[in-house]
Amino acid sequence: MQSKADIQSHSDILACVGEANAPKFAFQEKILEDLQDGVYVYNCDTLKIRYMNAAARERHGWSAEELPGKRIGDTAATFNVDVFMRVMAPLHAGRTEPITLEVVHPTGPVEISTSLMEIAGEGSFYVSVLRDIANRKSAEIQKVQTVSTVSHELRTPLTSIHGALRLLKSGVVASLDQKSQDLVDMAARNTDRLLNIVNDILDLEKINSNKMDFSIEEMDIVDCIHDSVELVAGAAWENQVQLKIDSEILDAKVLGNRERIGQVMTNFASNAIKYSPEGGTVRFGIALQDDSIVVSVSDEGPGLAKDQHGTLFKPFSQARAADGRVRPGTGLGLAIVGAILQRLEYPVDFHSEVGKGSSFFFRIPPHLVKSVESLGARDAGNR
Amino acid sequence: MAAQPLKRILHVDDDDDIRVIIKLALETVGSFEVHQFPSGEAAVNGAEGLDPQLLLLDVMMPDMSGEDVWRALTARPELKGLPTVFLTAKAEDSFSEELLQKGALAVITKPVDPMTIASQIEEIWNQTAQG
Repeated sequence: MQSKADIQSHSDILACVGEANAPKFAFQEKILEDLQDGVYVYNCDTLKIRYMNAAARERHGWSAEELPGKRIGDTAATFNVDVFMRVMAPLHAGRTEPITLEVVHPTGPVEISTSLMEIAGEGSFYVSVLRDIANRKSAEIQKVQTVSTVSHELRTPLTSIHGALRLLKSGVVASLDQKSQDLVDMAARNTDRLLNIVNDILDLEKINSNKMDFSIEEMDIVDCIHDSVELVAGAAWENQVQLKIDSEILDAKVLGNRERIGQVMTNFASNAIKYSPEGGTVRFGIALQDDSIVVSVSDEGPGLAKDQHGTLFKPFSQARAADGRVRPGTGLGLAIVGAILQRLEYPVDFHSEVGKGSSFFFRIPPHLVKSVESLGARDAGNR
Repeated sequence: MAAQPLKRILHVDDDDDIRVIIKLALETVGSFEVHQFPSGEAAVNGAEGLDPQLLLLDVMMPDMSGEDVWRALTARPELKGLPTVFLTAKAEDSFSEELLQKGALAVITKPVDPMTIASQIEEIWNQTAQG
């Protein structure tokens, strides 16, 4: 009988499992072989390929006989073992969900889902399933373009309605009685809301179609955070919320885009203010952690129930706070924030506990931090 | 040129409703004298004798774009170098930088706030006067 380590193809399986089990395994093997998705099984330590199904072999132009000696790195000229190992690290730290990445191959966009498989007496193997997503991607692009076109078309009439209502509201055209004034206020408020949604959709489309400016330059992150806090000071005052900066850093130069980071910060801050109780405090943290800079915005709001956590950064997924109250918003703010931070390569995350509040933060990784002047804890005082 | 207080504005926009709002905003909220045209061609044919101090042009218009109107009007000796402000939809903001580099005085993003656009234009005008 053939050793398991030599399995490369259908006939090897038969040789390995013996005649008695052959029909069952042959059936499963046939399914695996004929899957439209490419399947790759390779050793976790050596990255040597143990099995590739027909779709995978065809993608790389390899025959079953050519597989012995090949490593997963041979599947793409751009394959970087260090980056791959870093990305897969969570699987070795207990993550049970596959790690899914979208990659642009020379043949088009593909989605690769990788999970870890332990085989007794054999060791650990990665199982990667590669799916061609060219059709899905083009459908997504078409969807975004349609939404964008509709948004453009909505903007023009909305601009006129917005302008007309602003003039009516101001009383420069005619003075209104109280009932009329209330109705005009309501119409104006809802027009603003619609315009915000349209603007957010256009922003999201600009990010997705690479039309938004993401030029990277050296910038002072502490200064940028202070500017963002200034920008939301008015909203904080209206909502009777205190703003506080807790910074361990006096000055830090990072690689980023000031305008985009400002957009992220004002978004986090507006949400935090919106969800804060009257008299509450919104804290802006700037801290150094393992050579990364972690920027956080924390509120003392109702927090988010666990079932709301998964969809927070998805478009139109406005979360319901744990107190059940819905705050005004477009449901696109965090989707925009998520897309911006992804482009800047700053990982984003949040903690939220019902009754205690939420904290949103992003991390500027060490290779994007150019210099840091730390001063220990500093309280910038209430604003 | 910009040292004089701003009084006369020539506005071109193909959207009838926007023209009504801009006229109210600039004449009633502000106190400018506004001459409006629904197209570049109409502006080119009707601008004579109006002696505008500033052009306010929509960017996206059929037939002649805002930039075309700007070029055509400022090609006349009496309007040469006339300060020009563009109105643009948000999605075209990559275009704003290009217009500024070509010499536009400012680019204002729609939707304009009719309560503040007059003061916004006045401020742009005064900054130019100081510069």
